[in-house]
Amino acid sequence: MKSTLNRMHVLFVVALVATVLSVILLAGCASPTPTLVPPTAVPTKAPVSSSSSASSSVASSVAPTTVPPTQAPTAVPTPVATAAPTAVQPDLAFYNGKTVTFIVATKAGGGYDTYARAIAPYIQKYLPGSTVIVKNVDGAGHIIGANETYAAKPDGLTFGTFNTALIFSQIVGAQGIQFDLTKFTWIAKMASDNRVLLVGAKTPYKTIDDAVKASATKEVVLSSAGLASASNIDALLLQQVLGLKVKMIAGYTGNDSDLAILRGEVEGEVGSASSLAHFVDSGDGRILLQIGLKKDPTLGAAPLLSDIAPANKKAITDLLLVDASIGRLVAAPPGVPAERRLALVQAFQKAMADPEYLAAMQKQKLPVDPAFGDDVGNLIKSSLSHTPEDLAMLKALLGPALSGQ
Amino acid sequence: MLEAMWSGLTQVLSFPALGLMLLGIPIGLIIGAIPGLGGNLGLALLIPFTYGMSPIAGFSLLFGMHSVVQTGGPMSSILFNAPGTGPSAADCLDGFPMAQQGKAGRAIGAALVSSIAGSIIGAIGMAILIPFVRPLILAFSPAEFFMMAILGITFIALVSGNSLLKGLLIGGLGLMMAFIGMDPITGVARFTYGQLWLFDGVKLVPIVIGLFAGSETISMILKGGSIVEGDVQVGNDVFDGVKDVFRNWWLVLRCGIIGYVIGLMPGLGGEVSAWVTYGHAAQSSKHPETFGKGNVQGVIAPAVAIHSKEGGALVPTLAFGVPGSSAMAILLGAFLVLGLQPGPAMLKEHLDVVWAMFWVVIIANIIGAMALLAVAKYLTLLTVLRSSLIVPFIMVFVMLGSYLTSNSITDLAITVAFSIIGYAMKKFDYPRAPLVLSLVLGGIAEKNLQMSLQLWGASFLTRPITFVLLILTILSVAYPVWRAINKKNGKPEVAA
Repeated sequence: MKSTLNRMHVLFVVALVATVLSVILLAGCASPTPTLVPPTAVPTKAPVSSSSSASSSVASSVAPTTVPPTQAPTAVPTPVATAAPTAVQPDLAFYNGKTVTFIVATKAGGGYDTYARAIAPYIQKYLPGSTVIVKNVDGAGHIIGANETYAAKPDGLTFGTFNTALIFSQIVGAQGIQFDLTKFTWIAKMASDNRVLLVGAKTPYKTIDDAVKASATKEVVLSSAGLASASNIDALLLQQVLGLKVKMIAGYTGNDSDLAILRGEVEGEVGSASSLAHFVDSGDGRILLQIGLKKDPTLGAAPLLSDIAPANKKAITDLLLVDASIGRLVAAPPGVPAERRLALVQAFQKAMADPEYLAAMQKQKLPVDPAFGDDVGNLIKSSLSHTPEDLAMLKALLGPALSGQ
Repeated sequence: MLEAMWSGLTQVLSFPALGLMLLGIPIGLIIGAIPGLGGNLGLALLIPFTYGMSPIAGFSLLFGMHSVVQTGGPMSSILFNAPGTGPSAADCLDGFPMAQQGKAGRAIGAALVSSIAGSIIGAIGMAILIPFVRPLILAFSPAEFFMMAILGITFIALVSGNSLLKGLLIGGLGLMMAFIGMDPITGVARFTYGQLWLFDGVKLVPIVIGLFAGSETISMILKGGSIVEGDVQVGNDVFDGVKDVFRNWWLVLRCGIIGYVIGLMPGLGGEVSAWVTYGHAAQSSKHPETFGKGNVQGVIAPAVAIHSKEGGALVPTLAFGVPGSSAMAILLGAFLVLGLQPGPAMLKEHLDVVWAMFWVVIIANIIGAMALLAVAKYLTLLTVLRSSLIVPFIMVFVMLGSYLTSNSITDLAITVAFSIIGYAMKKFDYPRAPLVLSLVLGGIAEKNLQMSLQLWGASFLTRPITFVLLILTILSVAYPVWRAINKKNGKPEVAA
């Protein structure tokens, strides 16, 4: 090793320090804080149900739907006088010749990516002249993609899809969140997928009661992808609601848990019905419980959580329901002009009613259960409003997992 | 079964399947050769086109593309030191020095024929062993994965070049970097300084691109000249490379099997298969010190393994419906689009489709490799171009590859930083491979250690396979030490 300090050494150190500094600076600039919505503008609630004739075809699977209040959008440059609340027309002409970016908060190939890529050509079809491109922005458990969607220009040319479970992250105030789920411009949700509690075929639990009783002496061992994953959160919430004592083993990403159950390492997992269907079909697993608004006929005799949950745990049960009933959210940044929002919502409505699209989704066994506009927004808002006691309980339960402390 | 084999073959060789396969092959080669574009992206883009196709036609397109991605990867590793795919980074270590010595043709020839060999081994493993392999897959749990990762980390000694101490230093740095991000199990954020883009840890591809290709670019800018040092004839030795693979057939077989077994285990990934076989080749060679300086065995071993791993990954996908890799997870979606349900039922009812996949993997690789072999001589000409011509091209290549990973500008910053770090490492004679090795394996080791402790406590070490791997690890560390001691004492080397 040379002992004399020559110019090259100095240059390297300087270059290295400069690069490290610029990395940190770039990181600060690359994730801009979203511009605050000016206080005078009401979040644009284009009254979907009352102005569009297609409202009757909105297949809203969510039972408690009321006609959203028609509020005259203020501070929105509609050509129509603000006095007439129902005169918003979809601005299809704007999309002619434009590029629409559909942000997916996961890597290529996952469930969200598949849904986005499946519907993108149909969105393009119903926004004539437009080009819809899918952009994968993955990282931090959908938070980066959701941040980018929230911070995008609200000109109606960008929208994104991300995990409903971000609700939990927002409740506990997880690190890195730069969005507010109540302020997004809600466009649609594409599916609902009942969550299920699955146990291996070799385990002694035949019904959910068996499992709860047995767990009093020995905890049921369940797998999850990670502490902040939906599988973990759902299991912890189930513990609260049903008294099912669980021991969570985290680290099984993707389908690793299937093999773990086959090996007998873990006894079961909480997951979505569609992703676990193959496991039941092959006879390797059995479903003890389903969580959703209505019973999925393919899931056999397993009871619905809402049927067996004690009444005093309704707040938590509702929270679990949200995850099951609102799948594949699509939202645009806050402040999108009402007529462009309407164009997007109607494009989604038509796309999800298109027989070609439905046939393709059917073939892939991907459930389609749409809801649009304010129907989605109101559900999200209600799931984020809790009594202070419930909020404290949730923060204590989920906080350590989600805030990374 | 023979009828299914024949039926599968004839269906693959007839239109439209054949035409679709021929369409998929160049797509796969290009995706593989360009850093940052993963095969998964290609699959996600192609699957919508398969709606309405018959199963065999659809698979010809998808597998035709997917099988050759790893054939294209080593090309840019050898020519530019820029790994086209994550796993082909191991080919940079010996492939690029060979290019620098003017032997790029030989390296390319060896890599391409290794691709064919690896895919044949993997395909045979898939087709023939599926009925028997279930107990093998179920025998490997997090405990075994942890031990395998540790065994792989001990290979740092073999890729450290001439100084074990420097290798350990860099390996330690790589391990530290592997722990950046949210702990996979507890979710605690480590070393992230509140930066969102670090939550998932540092991404391998931007780092490797910068460390190898970016640093070479800087080196060429400062030095001038071309990739090949000196005035050497290139391109005439492609056939030598082909012969090399046949000469090393025993190594090819071993690496093929290792790659296949690693592919069987969901969650290990192509990088593990590449680096473990590279380490194994170095360890089993009589001259391990030549690795990293242009030993063609260092090109052959990873190239074989990354292909046989694909065959291995198909097994849990087909036999259980459990994807063996992230690409397989996407392919599972394709299965459903094409109307097939993977699992034991498929093996009974659609055996000809399974054999068709077998044939597509082999035939696509043969066609893809032959196509590249035909132009190999002209590819090697890139290594004699003046740096002023080739460097701008490589720089764009490198930056594009880095950005394409996640559409994130922080990745570009990481690549630039590691280009400089890589150049410094080159200049001061520090080995770069241990960084990649420990980065890849560190995360796997830690996650599986935590899971093993959660599941069984410290007694997980007494599980049979784990224990065997533990002994292997101790031997792997002890053997070179013992050999060095013997040499020092002047005793003649005892054949172990």
